[in-house]
Amino acid sequence: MLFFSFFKTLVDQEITVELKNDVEIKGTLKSIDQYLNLKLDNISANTTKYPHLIAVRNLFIRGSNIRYIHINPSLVDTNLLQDASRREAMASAGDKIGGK
Amino acid sequence: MSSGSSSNLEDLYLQSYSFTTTAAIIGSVDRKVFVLLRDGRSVIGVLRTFDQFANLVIHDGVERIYLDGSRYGESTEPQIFLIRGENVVMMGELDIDKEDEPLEKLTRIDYGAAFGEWKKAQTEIVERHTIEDKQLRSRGHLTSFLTDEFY
Amino acid sequence: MSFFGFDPSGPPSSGEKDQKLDTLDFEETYEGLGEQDEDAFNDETFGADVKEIGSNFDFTGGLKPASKPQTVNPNLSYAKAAQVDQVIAPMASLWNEEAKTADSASSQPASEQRVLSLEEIEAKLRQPQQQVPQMPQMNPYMYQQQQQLLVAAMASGQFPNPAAAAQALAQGYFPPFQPGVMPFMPFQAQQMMQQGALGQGQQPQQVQPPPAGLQVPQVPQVPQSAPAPVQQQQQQQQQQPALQAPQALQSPPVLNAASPPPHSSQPVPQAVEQKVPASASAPSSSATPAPQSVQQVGSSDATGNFPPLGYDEKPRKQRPQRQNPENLTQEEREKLWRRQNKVSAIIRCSGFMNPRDKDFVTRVQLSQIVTDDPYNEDFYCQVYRVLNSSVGEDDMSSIAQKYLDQSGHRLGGREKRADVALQRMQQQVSKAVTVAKERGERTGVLAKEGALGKVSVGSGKQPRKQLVINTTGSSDEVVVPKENVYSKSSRAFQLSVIEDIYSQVLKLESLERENQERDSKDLWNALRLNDTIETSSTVVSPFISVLSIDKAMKVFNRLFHFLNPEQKIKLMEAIFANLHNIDVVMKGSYANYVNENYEIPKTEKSKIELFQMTVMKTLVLFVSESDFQQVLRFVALIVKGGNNNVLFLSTTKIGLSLITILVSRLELIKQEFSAGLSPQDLAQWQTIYDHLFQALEGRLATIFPPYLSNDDARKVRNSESKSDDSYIWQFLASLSLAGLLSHQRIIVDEIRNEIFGSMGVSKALKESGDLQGAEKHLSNLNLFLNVMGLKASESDITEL
Repeated sequence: MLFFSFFKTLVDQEITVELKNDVEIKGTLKSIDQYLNLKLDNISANTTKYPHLIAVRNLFIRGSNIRYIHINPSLVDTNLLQDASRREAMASAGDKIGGK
Repeated sequence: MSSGSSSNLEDLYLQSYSFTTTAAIIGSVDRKVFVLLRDGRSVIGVLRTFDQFANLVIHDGVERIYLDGSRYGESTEPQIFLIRGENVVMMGELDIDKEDEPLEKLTRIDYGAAFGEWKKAQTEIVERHTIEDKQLRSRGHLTSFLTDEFY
Repeated sequence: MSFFGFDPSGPPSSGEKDQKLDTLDFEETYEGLGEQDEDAFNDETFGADVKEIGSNFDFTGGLKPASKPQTVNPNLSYAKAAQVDQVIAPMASLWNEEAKTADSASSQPASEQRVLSLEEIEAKLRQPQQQVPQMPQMNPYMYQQQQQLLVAAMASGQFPNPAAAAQALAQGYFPPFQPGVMPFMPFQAQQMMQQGALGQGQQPQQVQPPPAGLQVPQVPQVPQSAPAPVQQQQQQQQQQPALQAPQALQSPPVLNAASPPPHSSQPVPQAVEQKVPASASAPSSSATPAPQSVQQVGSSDATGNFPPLGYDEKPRKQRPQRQNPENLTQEEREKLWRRQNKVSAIIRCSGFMNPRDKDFVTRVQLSQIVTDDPYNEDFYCQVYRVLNSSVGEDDMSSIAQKYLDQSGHRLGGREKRADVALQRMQQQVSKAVTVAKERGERTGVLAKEGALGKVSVGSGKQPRKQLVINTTGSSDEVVVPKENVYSKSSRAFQLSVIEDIYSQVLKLESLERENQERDSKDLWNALRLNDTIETSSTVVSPFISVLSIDKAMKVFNRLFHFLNPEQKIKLMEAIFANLHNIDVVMKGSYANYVNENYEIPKTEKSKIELFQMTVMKTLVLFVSESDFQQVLRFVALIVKGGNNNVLFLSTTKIGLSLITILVSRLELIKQEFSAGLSPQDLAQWQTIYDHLFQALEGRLATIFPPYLSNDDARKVRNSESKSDDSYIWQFLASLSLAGLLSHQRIIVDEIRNEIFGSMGVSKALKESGDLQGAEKHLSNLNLFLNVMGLKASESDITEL
């Protein structure tokens, strides 16, 4: 859930999604789900492969087709991300965190 | 923990809502959409319903194939498409006032012909990759070419 | 079997169904069915007559051809309309008798007998309505608008039937309050046409993404702005038949200019008429295949006496120029016609997925992601939101709220009814959590082993892994202790020490957050202060060796917080005693970089900065609360500790700063609480001071890095020369403060050149116009001189 949790903080920020077919689509992240499917608003793309993209207002992208997501570094709290990774690692190692 | 009381649960529910597949797709229901499939075809029609796997039901849908940036083929008979989520690359809501603009610059050809050409190109790619794959494998490399992805 | 939560056991009927499905439980409708080998309910779900279905299945069941224009029968009662609204029964075998009844009902419009009682009720309800066109209980404005829009839409022929139009309205194709924003809207298209904007699809409003307003459709069943929910619902049940009334009238699809205004006494037809100017822009050529709107235009034009509507005024003001439909070119008409066809095709089956279906899908998914431990499972997001509260929860909920409203979700816009849904959510969540726990959630990917191999099942929380490694049986193997895996001098070992510390800190932080008992023993052990490792130069404890690694510096404050007082003191003492051996201190001395023009490498500089911001900050805070004896012990450890070379430490910024802080703390206590100090304490301090002074005596000038020096004999200029030298003057000040007059004389004597050099620089700066720089140099110098009752200006030194 770490990536899900991470991407949740990027909602309403502008990101660039690079698909596995090298197409890059820029847009405002509107929604993200646990499979890392995305919904982008105000999209613009670097491709002429899909001409109708210019008539597209918002785009749902299935997570499995995404290669990279480019984000503004200032939107990432790396220290926090490290801690979150540690928690995730500890949790998956069966290490008990917290008193619950 | 915060979820203990139901008032917090409500917050949780509200907060979590926008982080569901549903939330991403729901706004497009009963709107004209295009769906790009993994094999490179686009389906254009009205989204009628969907589920949490992004399985989609497209109503009045036509298939469209773009060829080499200047021509396209489109199936003439509208159909219902029930698309399994795993085949979806992306789905976008179309502005019906603008959707035809990009097509004006392209030449429309017969869908059957377009399909044939497109299939042939795919086969060629697959064949080329199969040869490359063999060579790479013989040198101990693994490749990740998938024969069903042409989008 | 239930399909999208749709209950096939009864025909869809507007009012009753609402309540019935509100209490529909997924478990009840689905439980166990999926496990059956053969689905006996297949026919029931998909119909027995599947073969008849073509590839373009008609969701409306063929009942309402899109092109069939409708008209409104003023005499038809709402109740009757509701009766006949059994429209969506596409495959008869699915609906059995009920469906047939529905069909027959729609085929014979005169079925009034069956609904008499309802009609009576309704007649009463309609009575006041006719007198007062505005419904009192709900926002009359909204109600009216909805009706107006709806009827107008039907009248213009864009919608095959009122139900579709109502749905269109509900789904935002007709946002009542923002007619100008939605490119899809026929209404808007018409308006644009009137205003000569046809073909200018690039109008600003259209180019924009659907604005928030669009995504908050006014779902007719749920008037959000109405004050009292109960009334609302009653209202809505009245309203709905009203909306659907015209549809029951299966009158011939003729509506021409000669036909009289349908119903002039009710608000509804008024709406039609008022909307007419909009529809009037539709292509009027009877040759075009979209005759409905044309004819409608004629009819409404004929009546001609319709007052303008309030809601229509805004767009008109915005775009005052209007154009007559006659002025449209053929091309434009065709374009409009094409557009209307598109819209009607979209609208035709709208609402196939109803709000409850949407709700259902949402809940299925929400039950997967809602966790009862968001802090641990959603750590990054939760904390990030707290830290960056500007993108905080308000925004989040507003997004969620928007979606809820949009989906027609039961939570949408109303808080009262949320409780029911939430209770159910809660049940589902706890169920889901229980099931997950039974599965042994965190052990890994779920796997089923069969004859053909292993089937691994992924979930949202545990994505399917490409490689499933069978971990059973590994428990028998001897687990190698981590510290034995790496060589103790390796970086990997150092990093593993830090990660151990982090793990302990994270655990303690979780406990603290939950207000539980905390034991710092494990954390203390993780510091390994009693262990030793050999570095290239010396033997230190692992913790001292890792303290120069960024991650360790960053966690220092967090770990320090959890230590008990004795542990804190022990840790402090370990640090002071080994100050010299801390990498960042050692490498921070200018003396290491004689050959590089005394330029301290960039990486070291940033490490020093980080150390000051993290570790030193914590140390200073602790020292500022320590008592005299304690601070004295710290100074003693620095000055006399076997590992430290005071002269070397004084060439480092960190060393010099720490000594300054300790000495000034001692002097502060001495001056303010001298009564509390024993002569032994003071004598001890004197001894240690002498020790410190002796170590530096004769080489005091070396505490000035050459790049900060203003002594002509020593000074070197590099990129650091402009940096702040106040820490040096502060040290000299504290040293003088603690010393006797004789000490002060020695100090002044040794750094005489620096003092006059600094004055000279100040003077030069002043002459070149840099008053600020000049002042800074002087004030730094005076930090020191003031201690001895002296004061420097650019040219001379005077007594205070």
